[in-house]
This record gives sequence, C-alpha cells and structure tokens, in this order.
Amino acid sequence: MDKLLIIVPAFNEEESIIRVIEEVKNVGLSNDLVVINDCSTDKTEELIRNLEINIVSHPVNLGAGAAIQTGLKYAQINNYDLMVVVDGDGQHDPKEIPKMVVALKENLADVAVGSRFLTNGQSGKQKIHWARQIGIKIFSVLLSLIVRSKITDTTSGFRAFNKRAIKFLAHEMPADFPDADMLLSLIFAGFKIIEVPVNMRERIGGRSMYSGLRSVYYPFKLTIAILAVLLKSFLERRK
Amino acid sequence: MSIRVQLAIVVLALLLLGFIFDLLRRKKISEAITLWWLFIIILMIFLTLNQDFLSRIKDVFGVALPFSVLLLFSSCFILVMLIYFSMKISVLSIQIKDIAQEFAIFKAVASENQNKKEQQSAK
Repeated sequence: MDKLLIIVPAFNEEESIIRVIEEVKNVGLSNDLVVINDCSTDKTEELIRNLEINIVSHPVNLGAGAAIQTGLKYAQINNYDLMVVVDGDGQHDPKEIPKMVVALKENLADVAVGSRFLTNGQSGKQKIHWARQIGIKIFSVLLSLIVRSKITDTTSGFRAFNKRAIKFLAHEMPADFPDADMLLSLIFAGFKIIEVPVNMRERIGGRSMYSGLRSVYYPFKLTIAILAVLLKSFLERRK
Repeated sequence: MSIRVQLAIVVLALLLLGFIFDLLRRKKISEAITLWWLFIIILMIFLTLNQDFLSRIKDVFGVALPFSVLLLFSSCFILVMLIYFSMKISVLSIQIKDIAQEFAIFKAVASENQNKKEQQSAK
C-alpha cells in the first residue's frame, strides 16, 4: 500500500486551519498529515500545536511555493510514495482527495491537478474575480499551446504528486507563485500531468497570495518564469 | 581635461580606494568585491592621467569630451556590478530558503521523535 502524506501549507490561517484539519482527518484515507506553517504571525501555529498535529514551522516567511517545497522535502526525507497539497484557507475540499489519488494511479500520472474549470465550465462554489479569471484563461491557453495539450487551471494549488515528482520538485520549485512555470518544467522534464475535476470553495479566512500589489506583479513574474523555462528547455534540447 | 579636474578625479579615486580597504580591514566587504573595485579605481586613475589614450578612446566612441569617456566607463562598471549583485542576491535567497526549510524539517522531525519516545516511556 502506498504511503500517503497530506500537507497543509498555512500562512495566517487561524480562521480556517482547524476546520481544514478536521475535514482532512475525516476523509478516511490511511495517511499522515503535516501542516507547513510559513511563519504565521497570528494564532495558526498555536492552534495546530494544540491539536497535536505534526507541524513544520518556517523560521521566516518564505512564500507559498517554498512552503509546498518544504512539504515535498519532508515527504522525500520520510520516504512517502504520494503527497497531496490541501491549502490551509479552506478553498480545497478534502473530500476530493481520494479522487485525486485514484486519478493519479489509474492514469499512471506523476502529478494530478485539481481543476475547478472541468466541471461544466463552473468553478464550483468559488467566485473568482474577473481579472483573475482572465489571467487564468490567458495562461491556460498559453500553456496549452506550448505543450499541445489542454490545461484548464494553471493556478490551482490542489495537487497530488507521486514519488518521482516529489523527488524532482523538492529541488525545483518557484518560491512565490508555483503555477504555470512549475507545470511547464514538469512537462518538459517528461512528467505526466492530468487534470481532475474538483469542487473549490470560497476561502474561509485569511488573505489570498494573489491579492493587492502582488496581483499586478504576478502576470509579469509568471511570463518571465515561463520564458526562462522555455529557454532552459531549448538549450537542453540543443545539447 | 584640465589639471584641476584630473587632480580632483585622482584624489577622489584614492579616497575611494582608502575607503574600500578600510571596509576590507573591518571585514565588511569580501576580497573578491575589493578586487573589482581595485580594478576600476586603477582604470579610472590610468585613464585620467593618460590623456593620449583617453583621446583615442574618445575618437573611437565619437564623443566630444574626454570626460564623457570616463562617465561611460563608470556607467558600464556600475551596470556590471548591479548585475553581479542581483545574481548574488538571487543565489543567497535560494540558499537562505533551503537552509530555513531544512532547519524547519529537522526541528519538526526531532520533535516528532521526542514525542514518540515520550509516548513509549509512558507505556
């Protein structure tokens, strides 16, 4: 039987973290759970420690991508076969985890991405700002054209990884927005990615990493990151 | 370029040289960076004192004043240094991130092992 780890990256999620942990526990899978606390300044860490859940606490705030990478490194060190990321803000419905794990195994894929746009074009119960919807659409179309395969949700953080992908991403992961560039690196490195239709919800509390000035920085950073991945792949093919 | 301007540039370059060596003495700057600064200061003094050479470069670049050549060299140097520091900062950020992640993981693993030991001894 595969050893499964569920990680919950959290940064200032005191309003949602307990509910997310309870929901993950109720999924009924034989798995381990670890919360990656990205140096929260609220009561997140205290709440997790009271629940006696395994916790990895960053000494400084490193960003969402780095928090997931810490989870990947933890999974690699402890020899897990599969790892699923469930955000600490409550957007991801843990009931969808078994579906992701089954899809990963049945399709012999390395990475399963939970897509909110595969369910009849709806995003479930989640309302997405129009500007972000346009951004997701642009990057999804761009990525689909580059890899010649349909990708609908480039910003979904609801992902499952197998052992091979865990090993690769433990060393290759963008620190801030682990999105389209990460998927592109995986595809160019020969990993198989599948999208799984999932329901996503409104965040219970906290602040989105795509809010404020970061939403302006995001498309530029992602474009540069995609270009860097393309250049790297082009140079590697020429060798 | 007048003697007064030449003198001012040489004095400023020597003061900068003294300041850089003082930083090195107090371990506020590395030897590698000091070498970069030493190279540019010597180049500036050489170009300032060697008027014939400066005039030849001025003609090559098609600029009116020899002083502009010095400014051009300074700007190029600053640009190279900025790129170098951007590179260094990026590398350092990745290294700090890796250290922080490993520190957090080992601390968590040590705590998990401690809890297991406590549970075993309680049994």
